[in-house]
Amino acid sequence: MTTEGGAPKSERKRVNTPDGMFIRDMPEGTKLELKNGDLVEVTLNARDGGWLVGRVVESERPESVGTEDWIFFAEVAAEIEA
Amino acid sequence: MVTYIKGRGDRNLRDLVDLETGVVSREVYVNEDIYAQELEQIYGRAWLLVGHESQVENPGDFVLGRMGEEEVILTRDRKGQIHVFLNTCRHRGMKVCRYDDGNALVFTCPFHAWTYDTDGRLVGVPHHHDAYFDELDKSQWGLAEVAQMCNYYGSIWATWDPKAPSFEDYLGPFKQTVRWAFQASDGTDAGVELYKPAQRWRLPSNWKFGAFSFAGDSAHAAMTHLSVNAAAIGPQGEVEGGGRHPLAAPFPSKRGYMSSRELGHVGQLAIYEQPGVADYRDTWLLEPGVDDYWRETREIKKQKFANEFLHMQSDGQFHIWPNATMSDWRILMWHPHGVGMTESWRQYQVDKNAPKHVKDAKRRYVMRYCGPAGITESDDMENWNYAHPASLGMVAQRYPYNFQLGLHHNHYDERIPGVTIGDRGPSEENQRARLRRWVEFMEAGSWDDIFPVRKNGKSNGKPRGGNGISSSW
Repeated sequence: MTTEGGAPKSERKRVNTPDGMFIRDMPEGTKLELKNGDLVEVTLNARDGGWLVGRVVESERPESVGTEDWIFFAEVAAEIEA
Repeated sequence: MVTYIKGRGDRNLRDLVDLETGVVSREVYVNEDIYAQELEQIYGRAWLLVGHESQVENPGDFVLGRMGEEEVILTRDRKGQIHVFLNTCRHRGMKVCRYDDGNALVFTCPFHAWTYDTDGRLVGVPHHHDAYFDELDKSQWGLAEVAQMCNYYGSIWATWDPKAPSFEDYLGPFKQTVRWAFQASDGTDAGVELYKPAQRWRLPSNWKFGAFSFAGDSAHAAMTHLSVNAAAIGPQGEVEGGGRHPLAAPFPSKRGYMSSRELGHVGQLAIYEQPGVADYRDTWLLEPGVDDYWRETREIKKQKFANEFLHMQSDGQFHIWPNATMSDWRILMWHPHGVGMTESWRQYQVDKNAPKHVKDAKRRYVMRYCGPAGITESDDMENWNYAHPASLGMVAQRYPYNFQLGLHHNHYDERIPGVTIGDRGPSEENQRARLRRWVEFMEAGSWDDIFPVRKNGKSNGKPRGGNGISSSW
């Protein structure tokens, strides 16, 4: 697991774990765990309820850490306590 | 070469449009096969007015427009670049934008959530990794963008045809005329904004009734607008007997019907006998303080253009082929919406820097005059709304329309090369010019057949007739 300063996966505190996260009003800076295990930080929210942009801060794929990509709400597993 | 063949005998388009005699079959206005051909041959090819940069001032701003029957999104991306996209998702066709205007980070399709950046790139596809297995090449599935777009002094024009000539070449002798329509009243280029939102409504009539009549049919005004003239809706109220139009100071000029037969653009414009700009004449007598602003900006404009002849500029209305009519205060767009339906759009320019009371006064005037509730346009709509159904019948279609007013009584003037002038009273020359271009577009296999329009050497200023169509004046 490569990290960018985040807590190890086993130590993440999940604060919000509905099936199908409601992301429309989620503020930038929120930390999310994705269903693929990545930990991302929200950098931009389209505020359409479907999509946001996240920067990967922790992942089993080292090359993806630090990259940004669009995230569909259904890919989100949980919100992680800051 | 595409020709139109009708079941009742073999006839092509030139049998339906006889410009030598000024006789035009009603089928041109009511036949569904011809209409379908228009969408492809004209609206798939011509430069079309989409909107204005003031509608998308900030990154992420968008407004919907139309190109022919199809809806487009005019938007400014996060880098400030303006784009025009077809409003349809590349996945299953749903509209990706269902608001008339607004500001968005992305356009997300509500069907399967494919999402597009404001520069048109497909940036998000659900299940791209876990079900498309990263095999979908998103770079190939962005929003469909127009082939060419031009920001011309703030007005946004686009075409679906990559082979269309540049927009300035397309305008020909009407380049300065269009430029003028987007100048502020002090002569500053791109100095206007549009009132928001646009007025939009549907007329049960073929699009050509409005599009080919405006800027070319003053003969209708005396009868059609008799009552609105008497109602004195102009800003001057009942001064000098009232009227629809603001008062204007005299200036040595010759007004006429001016058309580019070669390009299909026309106007009711003027040639000036002296350089400069007319004095301002107080006219907003019912709106305190408004004349002060216009008088001040007119003085600036007079100084700016003191030594220039503003032929075909400075006043009057004109029409850019195929469906945009405009002047310095309004824009009329005639969008086809079925052979017997037109979606009519009105937008109005006003100086960006005008004070609020001036903008409010002008808005009240244009709404009295134009649009679905404007009492001048209500008169026009009544004509077209009845002319269309009265032209549909089997018997009615035996009798062609008459476009002979002023036929063969035109001339040209070396001061405005490439332009035919009819100035000996009312004339339908501007309508004939559009029908002439209509035939050329409908027959053409590509832009190679219709542009450049003078393939065989330099023009001497005299307009020619078109591809095989008589050039008689």
